[in-house]
Amino acid sequence: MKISIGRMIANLAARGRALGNRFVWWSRWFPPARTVDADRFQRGSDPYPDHWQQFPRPWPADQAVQPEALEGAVAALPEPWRRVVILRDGEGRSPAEVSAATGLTAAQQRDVLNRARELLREEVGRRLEHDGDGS
Amino acid sequence: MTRRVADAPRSLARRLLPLQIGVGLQGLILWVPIEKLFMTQIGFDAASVGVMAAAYAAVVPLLEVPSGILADRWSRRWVMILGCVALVASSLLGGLSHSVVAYVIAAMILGVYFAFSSGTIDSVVYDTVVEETGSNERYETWIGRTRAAESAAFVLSALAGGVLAQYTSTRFTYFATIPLVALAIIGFLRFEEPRLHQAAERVSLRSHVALTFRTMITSRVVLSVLLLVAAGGLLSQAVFEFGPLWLVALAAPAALYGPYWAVLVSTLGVAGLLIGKLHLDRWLMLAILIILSLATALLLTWTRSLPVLVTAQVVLALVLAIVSIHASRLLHDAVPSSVRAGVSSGAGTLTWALFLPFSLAFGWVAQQNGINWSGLMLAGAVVVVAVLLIISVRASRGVAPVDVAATAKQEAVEVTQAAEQLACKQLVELVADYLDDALSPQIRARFEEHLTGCDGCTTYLKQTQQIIAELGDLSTEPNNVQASRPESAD
Repeated sequence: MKISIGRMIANLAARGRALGNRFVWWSRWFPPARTVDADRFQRGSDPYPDHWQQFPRPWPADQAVQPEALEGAVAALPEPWRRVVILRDGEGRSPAEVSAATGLTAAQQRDVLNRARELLREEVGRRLEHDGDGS
Repeated sequence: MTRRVADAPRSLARRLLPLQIGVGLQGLILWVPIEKLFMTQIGFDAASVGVMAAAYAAVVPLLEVPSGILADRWSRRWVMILGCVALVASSLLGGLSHSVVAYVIAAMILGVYFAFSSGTIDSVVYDTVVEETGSNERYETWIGRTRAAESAAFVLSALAGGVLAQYTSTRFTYFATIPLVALAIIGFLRFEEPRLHQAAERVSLRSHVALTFRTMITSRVVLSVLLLVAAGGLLSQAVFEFGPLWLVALAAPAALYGPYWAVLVSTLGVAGLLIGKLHLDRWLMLAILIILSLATALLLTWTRSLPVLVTAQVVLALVLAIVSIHASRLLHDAVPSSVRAGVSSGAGTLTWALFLPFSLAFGWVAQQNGINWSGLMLAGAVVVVAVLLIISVRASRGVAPVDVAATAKQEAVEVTQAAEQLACKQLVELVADYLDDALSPQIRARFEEHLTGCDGCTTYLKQTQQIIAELGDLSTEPNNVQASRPESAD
């Protein structure tokens, strides 16, 4: 059984333990990165745990997604995510092509896309609602 | 068109390199091995060493929360740089000090450094990994490599610091540290900070405390393991903090402090390597560890021989590190994932809180009766740790380990398979896989089943598809957003 030293130390560190000495291995345990904030879902003590606290509000049917709003949201994405979003969703490239260009596996691309699209959806939705209130 | 397959971890590696260099340079604190020697030279006795340790133990928990808020609201990178500045200031003041009071102030500034660097590096690495790969799957690997750079720097500085003190003076090591830490600032400045501050779920201090408390009182297993983690941490910290005082008492040469400290620090890494090979679920192994730690602690109170003393401390530190890792695993298994962050930071805070009175008492006893008598306090703490260890292991026997998935997606799939249905919280993690047709037929069926009955998720999926369609339209227009590729830079 081969276990790399890095992995060992990582296991040590990731357990969020303070191995007390002056050089405490200051490490915190991090919850997995979520696509949608966990606060948006009901808690264990609520009637429907893990279901929406409030449903995502449907967008006004008469309003299309504004390209400027979307462009702005795309520009605000972190650079590695923007690259994947533009190649995959914008230019419609295949996962294999994007793998060649970015080095991300197809599964990693899906992780990026899922989270990036959610940020875009949130931002565009915010803009639509804001405009709807204004006019 | 050239197709060069660059792997994602490589771009991640490139991005994290300046950070790792910074962390490594920051770890090169040359005065650490000879600190206690220097302190006795400027007039410290055991009691005032205890006061000093208590002083910085008080600063860290006080500043930890404000520094966390500062890091989130402002910039993690700049908080790390501020930590470096505090380390420079502390080294400068420490090196210039000729009195106990001046050095205690320097130690409190060092507490600022601890508070500012605590957890900040972890969250920066975490966010960078998420930003480069979309999930936190590779976080453990990269935080491990960063920690490895740090611990290599600790061992190196321990060796170099001792040698430097031998050939120059103990005071000089303080000044020699300053340029190294200043270089770390350059490393941090060159690091491209992640912009994803929302990636890690923020938990407020109040809910931390509330959650920790609730989890503690509802489960005896958690309570005993929590106390074990804190007591083990306290004892380990005491060995590192007060261990060098025995060397001072025996008038060990300055050159010895470096190798001594290097071996002591390396026990942390060695424990990590050993833990997989030891069968800690067996009582015999636990008994050996307990007897070993008790014997070494008692040896510290009796021996007047330098080699025996150093060996005893190293063995004690090693056993404590093994116990601490095991205890943190027990805690990991006993605590559900939603409150693990709260409970583990509660354990950390508890360690600091216990260490404060312990170090004052230790110093006082050493002052009144000599360092060997305070050694009995270590032995007493070993007994407490042993009792807690036995209680925790017994209590944990009945508890099935909670295996927690590393990523939200894995978690969603596992929860769905176990519950035979999918909740909204899990569905949102699987949308990209659904659209790419990458789900197993079983999960896919549950995904679609959920959609038919849930307006919220139907809206969510529809809006996501609308975004994808619009992104496609966007790039067919003439003034589209250009895809920037890494190759274009070459």
